[in-house]
Amino acid sequence: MGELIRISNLSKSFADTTVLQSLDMQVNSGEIVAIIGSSGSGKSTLVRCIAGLESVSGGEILLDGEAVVNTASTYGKVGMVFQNFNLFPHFTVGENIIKPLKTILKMKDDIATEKAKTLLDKVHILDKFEQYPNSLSGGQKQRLAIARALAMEPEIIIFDEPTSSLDPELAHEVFETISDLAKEGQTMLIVTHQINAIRRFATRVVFLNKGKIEVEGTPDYIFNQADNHILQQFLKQVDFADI
Amino acid sequence: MTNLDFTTLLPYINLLPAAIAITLQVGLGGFILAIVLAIVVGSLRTRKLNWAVHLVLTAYVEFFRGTPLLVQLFVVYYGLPSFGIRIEPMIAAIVTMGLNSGAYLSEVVRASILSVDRGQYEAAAMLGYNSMQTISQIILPQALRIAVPTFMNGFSSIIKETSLISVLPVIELTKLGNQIYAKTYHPFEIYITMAIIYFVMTYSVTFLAKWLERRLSVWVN
Ligand SMILES: Nc1ncnc2c1ncn2[C@@H]1O[C@H](COP(=O)(O)OP(=O)(O)OP(=O)(O)O)[C@@H](O)[C@H]1O
Ligand SMILES: [Mg+2]
Repeated sequence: MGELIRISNLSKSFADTTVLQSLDMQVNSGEIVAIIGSSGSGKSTLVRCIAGLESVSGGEILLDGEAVVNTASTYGKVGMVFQNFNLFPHFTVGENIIKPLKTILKMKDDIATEKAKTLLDKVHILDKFEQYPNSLSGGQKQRLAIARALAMEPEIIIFDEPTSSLDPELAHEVFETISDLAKEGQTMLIVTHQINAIRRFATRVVFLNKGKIEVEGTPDYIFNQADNHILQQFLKQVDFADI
Repeated sequence: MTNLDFTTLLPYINLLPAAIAITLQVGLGGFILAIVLAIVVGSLRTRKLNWAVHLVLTAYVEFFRGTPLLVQLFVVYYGLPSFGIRIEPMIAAIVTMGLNSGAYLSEVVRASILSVDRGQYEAAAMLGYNSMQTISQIILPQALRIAVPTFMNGFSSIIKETSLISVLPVIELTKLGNQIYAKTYHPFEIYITMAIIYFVMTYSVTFLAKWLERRLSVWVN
C-alpha cells in the first residue's frame, strides 16, 4: 500500500484565528480514514486544504509526492463530495457526469454517455438519467455527487459530512454506496459523525481537537479502547446525537 | 370636446410599416448589443481586475447610468462628428441604446453571478474546470436564468425609449407621428394610435418573457 498523502507540520489560519496547527498525517492507498471531532475543530478546513480548496498557512501537503497548492494540483486525483451536494442544477442527472467528462477529459459523447450510465447504475439512479437534480431526493442527489466524483477516477475521494443534511433513511442509502466503494478498495477520507457507519468500513479513525490530531487508530481502538479524556467526552455527545 | 376622426390617418397608414420596422430594428439591435455588453462587462466586474480595466468598466457603467439617454444620443450623433467620427443615425441610435441599456443590465448580470452559490465554483474546480470553463459553462447559465426577467424588462424599456431617437434624422414611430401631426392637426388620434402600437410591442415581449421563463425553469429548485 503506497503512500498517497503526506501532511507535515500543516498549519492554517484565517486572519488571526488559527484553525490547524502543526498537524501531521498520512493516508495510504486503499485506506478509508474517518475524521471526527467537535464542531469547529477544523475537520472541514483540513479536508479542504487537502483538496486544494484552501491555501495552507504553513507546512505542506504532498499528494503523490507533489505539493498541493490549489485545485489545479489535485484535480483528477482528488474527488470531493460536499455536504450540500453542489450538483450542477442546469444539467440533467446524466449531464452532471457527461459534461465534465467531455469538457475536462475530452471524452467522446458516446463513450462519456456509456460511462455515465454505468456509474448511475452503480449508485442506483440510472432511471433518473434525463431528469434535473431538483427532482431527486437528498439521498439520490448525494449518490449522483458520488458518481460525478467517481467519473474522474480520482485516487482518493473526500467526503465532508456527506449525510448531515439528510434524514436517517437517506443517509443510510448514501452509506450503502460508500460501503460498496469501500469493498472495491477505493481510498476515501470521510468527515462524519455517523459512528455506526465508521465502524462498518473505516480502516482508521482520526480524532481532531482544536486543530490538532488528539488521537488516532483503528475504529475498535478509538471507540472501545482509547483512554483519552477529550475523546471520551466527545463520543458521549455524538452517541447521544446519533440516537 | 372635439370629434375624434381616425380616418384622417388613413392616407398615412402605408408609412407605418417602415416606421415600425425602424423602431424594432433599433430596439432589437440595441437589445442584442446590450446583452453582449452586459454579459462581458457584468462578468468581468465580478472578478479581480487590473486597475485600468476596472476604471474603464466602472466609468462606462456609471456614466451611462448617470446621464440622460437623450443627452447620450446627442453626444454620439452630434458630438462625435466634431472629432471626425461621423456615423449613420441608425447606427448612432443602436449603439447608444445598446451602450445605455448594457450599462444597466451589466449590473444585473453582475448581481446574478454573485448570487450563484460558492459551492458551484468549488465543485467545478474539483472536477478540473478552469476559470473560463467555470464561468461560461457553470456560472453564467445559472446567472442568466436569474437575469432573464430583468433582461426582458430591459427589452421593453428599450422599445419605449426608441421614441427618443425621433430627435435624430430617423423616421421611427414617434417621428412619424410628429410628421402626420404637422399635416393633419389630429394629435390625439395620432398619438393614441402610436401608443397602442408601442403597447402591442411591449406586451408581446411580456408574453415572450413568460414563455422563456417557463421554458428555462425546468431545473430551478
Ligand atoms: N473561510 C473562513 N474564514 C474564517 N474562519 C473560518 C473559515 N472557515 C472556517 N473558519 C473557522 O475555522 C474553524 C474551523 O472550522 P471548520 O469548518 O474546519 O470546522 P469543522 O470541524 O468542520 O466544524 P463543523 O463540524 O461545524 O463542520 C471555525 O472556528 C471556523 O469559524
Ligand atoms: Mg465542517
